[in-house]
Amino acid sequence: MMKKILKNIAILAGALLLCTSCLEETPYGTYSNKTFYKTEADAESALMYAYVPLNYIEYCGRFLFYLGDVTTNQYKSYGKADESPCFQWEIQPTSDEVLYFWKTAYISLARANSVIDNVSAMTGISESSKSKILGEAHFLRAFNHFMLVINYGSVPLREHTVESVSDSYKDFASIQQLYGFIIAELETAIGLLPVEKMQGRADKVAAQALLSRVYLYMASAKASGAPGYEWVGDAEEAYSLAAEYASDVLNGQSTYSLDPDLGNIYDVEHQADGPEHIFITSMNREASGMEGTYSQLPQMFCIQISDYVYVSKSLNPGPGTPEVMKVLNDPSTYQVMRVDNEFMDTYDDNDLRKQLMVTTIYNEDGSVLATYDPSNISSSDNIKNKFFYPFCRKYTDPLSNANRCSANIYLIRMGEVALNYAEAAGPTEEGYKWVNAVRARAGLDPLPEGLSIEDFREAVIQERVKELAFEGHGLYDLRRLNRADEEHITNKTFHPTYAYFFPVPQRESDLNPQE
Amino acid sequence: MSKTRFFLLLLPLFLFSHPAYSQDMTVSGTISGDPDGQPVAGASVMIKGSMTGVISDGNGQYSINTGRDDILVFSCLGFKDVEIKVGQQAIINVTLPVDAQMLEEVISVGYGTMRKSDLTGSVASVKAAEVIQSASASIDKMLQGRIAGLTIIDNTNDSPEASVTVRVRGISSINGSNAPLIVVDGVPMGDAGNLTSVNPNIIESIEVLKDASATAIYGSRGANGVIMITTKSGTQEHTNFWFNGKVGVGVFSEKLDYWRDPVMMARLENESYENGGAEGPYTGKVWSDGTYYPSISEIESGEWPFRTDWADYVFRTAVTQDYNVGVEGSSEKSKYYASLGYYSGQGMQYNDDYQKISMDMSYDNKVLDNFNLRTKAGFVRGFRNYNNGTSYARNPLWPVYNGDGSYFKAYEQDYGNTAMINNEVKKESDNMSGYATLGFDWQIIEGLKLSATGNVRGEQSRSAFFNPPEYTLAGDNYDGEGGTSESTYANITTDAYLTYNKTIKQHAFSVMVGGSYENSTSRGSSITGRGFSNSSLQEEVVSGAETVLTATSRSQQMLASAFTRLNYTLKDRYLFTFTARADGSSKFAEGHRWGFFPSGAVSWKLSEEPWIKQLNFFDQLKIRASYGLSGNQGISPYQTFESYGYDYYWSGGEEYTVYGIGYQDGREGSVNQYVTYAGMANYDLTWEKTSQFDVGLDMSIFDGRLSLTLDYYFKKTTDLLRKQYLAPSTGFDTVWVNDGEINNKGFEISLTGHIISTKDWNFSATGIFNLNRNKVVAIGTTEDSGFTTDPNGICFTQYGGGIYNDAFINVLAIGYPVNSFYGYMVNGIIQTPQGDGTSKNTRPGELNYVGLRDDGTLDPSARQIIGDPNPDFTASLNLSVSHSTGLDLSVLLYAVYGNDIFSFRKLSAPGLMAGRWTAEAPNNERPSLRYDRQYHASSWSVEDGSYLRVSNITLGYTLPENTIRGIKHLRIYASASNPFTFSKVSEYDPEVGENGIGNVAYPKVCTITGGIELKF
Repeated sequence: MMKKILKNIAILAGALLLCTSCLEETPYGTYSNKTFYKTEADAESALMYAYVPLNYIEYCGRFLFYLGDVTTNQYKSYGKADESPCFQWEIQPTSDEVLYFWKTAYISLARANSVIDNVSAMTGISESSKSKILGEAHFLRAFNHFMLVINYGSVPLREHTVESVSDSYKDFASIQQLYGFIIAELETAIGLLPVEKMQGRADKVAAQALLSRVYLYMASAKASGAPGYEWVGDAEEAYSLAAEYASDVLNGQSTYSLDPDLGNIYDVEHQADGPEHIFITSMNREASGMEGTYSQLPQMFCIQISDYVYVSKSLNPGPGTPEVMKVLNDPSTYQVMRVDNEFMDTYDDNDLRKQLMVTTIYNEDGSVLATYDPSNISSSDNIKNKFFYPFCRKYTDPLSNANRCSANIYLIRMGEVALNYAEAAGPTEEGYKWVNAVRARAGLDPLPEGLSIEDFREAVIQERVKELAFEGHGLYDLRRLNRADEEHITNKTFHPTYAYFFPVPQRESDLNPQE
Repeated sequence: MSKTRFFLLLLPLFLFSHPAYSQDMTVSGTISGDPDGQPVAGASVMIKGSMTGVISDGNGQYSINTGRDDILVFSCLGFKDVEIKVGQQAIINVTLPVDAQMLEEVISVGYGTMRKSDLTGSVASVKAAEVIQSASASIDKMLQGRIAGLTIIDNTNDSPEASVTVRVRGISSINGSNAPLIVVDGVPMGDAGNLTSVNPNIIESIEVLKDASATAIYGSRGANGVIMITTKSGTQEHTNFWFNGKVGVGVFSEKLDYWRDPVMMARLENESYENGGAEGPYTGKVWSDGTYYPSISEIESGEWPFRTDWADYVFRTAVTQDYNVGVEGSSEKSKYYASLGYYSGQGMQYNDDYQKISMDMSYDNKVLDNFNLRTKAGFVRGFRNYNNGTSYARNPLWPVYNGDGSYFKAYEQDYGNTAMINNEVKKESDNMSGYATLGFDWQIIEGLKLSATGNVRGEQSRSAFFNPPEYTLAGDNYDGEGGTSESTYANITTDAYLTYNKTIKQHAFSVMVGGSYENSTSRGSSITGRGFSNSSLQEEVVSGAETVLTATSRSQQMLASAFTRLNYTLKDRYLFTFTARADGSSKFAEGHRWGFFPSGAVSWKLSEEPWIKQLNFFDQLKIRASYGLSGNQGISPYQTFESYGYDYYWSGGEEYTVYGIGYQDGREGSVNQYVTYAGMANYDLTWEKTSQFDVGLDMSIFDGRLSLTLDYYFKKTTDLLRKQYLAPSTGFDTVWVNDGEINNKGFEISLTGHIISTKDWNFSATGIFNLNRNKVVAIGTTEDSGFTTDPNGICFTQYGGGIYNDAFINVLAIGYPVNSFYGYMVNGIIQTPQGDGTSKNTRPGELNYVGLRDDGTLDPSARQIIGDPNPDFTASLNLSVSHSTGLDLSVLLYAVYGNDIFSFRKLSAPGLMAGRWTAEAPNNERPSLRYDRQYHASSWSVEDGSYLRVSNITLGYTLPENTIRGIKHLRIYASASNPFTFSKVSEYDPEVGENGIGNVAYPKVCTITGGIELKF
């Protein structure tokens, strides 16, 4: 009898199960894949959401500088409290920089993957918009994987949105696989994207420029015997591809060009229209969100004197009382990116780029308030003892909305592409032309004629260090040139363990363990 | 699925049990009651040893199909049972003798009722009349100490809305809800704790379902226990009009502790700065924030003339009023009940008010002999005014007003002037809620009944605020800020179930099978304006603001269920119950939506055994055992989907609000500087499951004068819903998963003795004892939970927020109870300097931390478990005495023992500050005063939170019946709630939240209530 009862209950339960459609959840009030990606604006919105993490302080907005530049001779600690363990190369798998740089690159990747997974299947969108959105998403996948591989080496390659806990376990891809993927993504992006300059967005030229950097890294790493690049088949072939893509940027379009005025590059008012900027972030002082939608970059560099800091408006002010400007429109700064004065001393006095390291600050009326001197560090004067290093003025915003600045990160610019080309092409006529163009802008004479290919490349590399200082390239250039060692990193205690590849974050190793 | 199909599916169930023995005659008659011989309505007539029976009608008449050999058992609440053998009689008239002791209660068990003596599970009940002797906006608060196994924590001070924390048998979920499910008249209403939508005065009885056998019928929502509330319906045979009124006056149960001697205050404040190596503020100078602090001599001499007793501006004598009128009655075919209530509650602080008007009505009509129609509807309108956080601890040296009548501000951004906040800042809300229930009971054939109920509930609430410039920080920041928000909630609950009773000789069966469906939708919108050029209309004209921010929300959840209960009784002494529920929740993904929650119980009525009966000692003796599963689905909807977030992005000189996968979910890292992201889909998400084993004993001896209920339980909750960390290469930080285990075990004793029972005097006592032991057994692996294993081997993770500058104090530690305190041990006060004396932390007068290094820093690895806020046991004693003149007195004592609390007032309370360490008068108890001392989560602040409270004293007088013509019932009474508390804590009151964190703002409120009950 009990059996019969249970049987009938089973029938009843079965009948009820038939009506499970009444339990189908409609995600009201919250967007999800079910309700999004209906319109072109949706696709555009999701794509911009994928760009957002690039601005975060955990990624390009700050940690790129810590990992990429602070670890080199550009900065030193001066025995002051350090914002980042990178000042002492005390980098651990648990360091914030290691974890959050990694995490944020993958956040951008997850969003870019979601765009590619969903937009490809959209119908209510024009083909040209679809190509452009997909092209940018492919660019972002390449950019993020490139940032990961140059920092960590072998990492998981994420081509799709992770949709379950089991998906979260993934074998790390080899450096070769990652480069292969990055190249393919950039080629796809080049095929899909138009040339269309817009601040905060990548276009065809950005993809070409990044690809020239990718090939240059491969070529020089192979040629120099840098660890991790043994798989590169032929350095020369990679050099020629680097030159080819750089040439596409230098000669194949007219939207971007070397800005003849060095100061213009770093003028916050010309980030959007300056011809130099191929891919620049778009943080804005009027933004609504948290830091990352606006920037606090000037504060990181500028000294803290509890008052507005004025510098000369022009990089080359000439004699007399200069016209001055605020570094930012806020008296409060952090003063953590402390430029090594010996690094400044490597610049020729005629080099205009030396003026990007501030050694004189002014009062509002243009009279001198204080000048930098190495002995300031032990001064009892409350302003002087803050001015113990020459601070970088590549990031300024005189019109900042208090602490909210529009200063942005120069992720890809023409100067780099010119130097990519020169280094890749070697001492050819074109090679000389582009390195000398960069030098001329800085007020320097051309390189001597007739240099050997080694000497020429070395000269270009030195030019690159000076041109791209404080822009997040330092350590990555050292690594690809097999120079991440005590000989080239001299102003800090160097711990070689993670010289070429930063450690995989502990949380990743714990939660996605590799054999 | 149509009802017909539903029924057809069920038909086969009942065909097999067609009567196969003789129910060959009909017996009818009239049941009347002693002493007046009035007909008794609602008496049950059962065939002995079966579950077949009928109920007498309004005239006490009944009719039943029976056999000649059967024995009929006549029973009714308040009367002794009478058994009569049928034999040849076709008409049996019975007079039931009164029995005040042996009330055979019928209690609500979810989709049906049962005689209390037939229960196999653990169910405790209380009559509302016993607990509503004071005025309260909701019933929850008044249940403290009344029911074994039910814990009420009332730490919200004196909120006029009376929300409390309610737990049945401990904490069993770390992220889901721990509150029991409230079911009102069969309709699940959600979490217990703030049931303001039900007027306590219309509640008839409260049952608490505790073990799995009882709760499994509520399946996925039963894991935290179920509180069944039955409201009144017209059960009186005559029409009664009734009125009850209560007026309460709230006063503090102890004196407020604030600075009444400003000179002493200023001296100690200066001392605390001097001990920190700085000049104190009371030196007649302008402080860095712009405040002028008078010097001590200025204060002493009266040159600084101001003295303000801020408590006068903050507190009042709180008056609570509760009036209800109603009518109830019944006729042969119908019964009805209607009431109207008005409640007005005041918090101790000015502007902290709550008023509500409630209307409830029910009407049941037997439209056919075998078809009863039930209707019920009600409406509540509530108004709430919020106090905006005024402080009586404001500096007594500040005046209230400046000479020109404007509010005194000590400095530009001083927004703490109580009078200013009370008069100028607006925060209020109001709500409306209504419900309607339509149902029927259809006696299809003898023994087979179909009950179906549909209930709709709607709620609408609105809140408004305005922060004017000059008087509020937000107002100054935004040049006036104000807004409104509105939300609506709609719920539809339907259920239908068939009950079939059948007795075959010594075998009695009862089968219930049914289904239910619930659908709830919430919508909300808010509008906030900033920058009001004209503040006079405040938030009423938000469109006048410079910036207008809007937000809207919507969510929906559904639950479909099938359930069944089988009762089998053998020889009226061996009872078996099997229940099962299948729940399908929209919150989970397909494939994981349905949960199956079965339970089984056995019970043996030993007192029915001849060999026990021979002893002639036990009136009732029953042992029970049960085991079963229930669930918890206490997470928000849409957690299984991928979820989108938003951010802002500038593109082409324009800002866009952009959306995409992944949203900001929380923060982590030192000073919480890093955002964490969630939003990954997890289609594997499912219910938390609680399995519970319970054994119990029900006993009654000495003619029911002494009764005892004992229960032991072991409750194991697995598949805990918790957030797990994901590999950062996923692009997400956390995701909800099912992992981990928490155990609760304990026992409950409920002992009632009618100690004196004479013609003139009655004295009875009920003691309740609850003991619960909680333990975190597992919560995932070290890595994916973000666990820390300390050098002492304690594996823990932060649970809840931080205190002082420490990120946390409560932890989930493997092997320890939920919410255990984690921190430093302190061995008294440092008496001789340690180290080289350069650090302020190592000087005499400082706390002597274990792990204090010579440089003044603390060694984090010295931390350990320093306390447990879970009590060893709670107990209550309810004494009541009554006299034949009509006087009655009852006292309720409530005790909590063996819990720790974290006290913030150990040094900061003005009354305790004088006992500080000084070089002249050193001690080992309280450190010196030092303004810049960083406190930590340490054992120094941990105190024994045990207490004994006199919860309620009620003195009443009931006018003997028929004293005044036309008055059926008149009772007047006075009660005092929380008049006395005995405890050793430095906090005002030991009854702090479940996590044991103190900081009780002011003393417990004692409410003196006067009330009248009138029926005519």
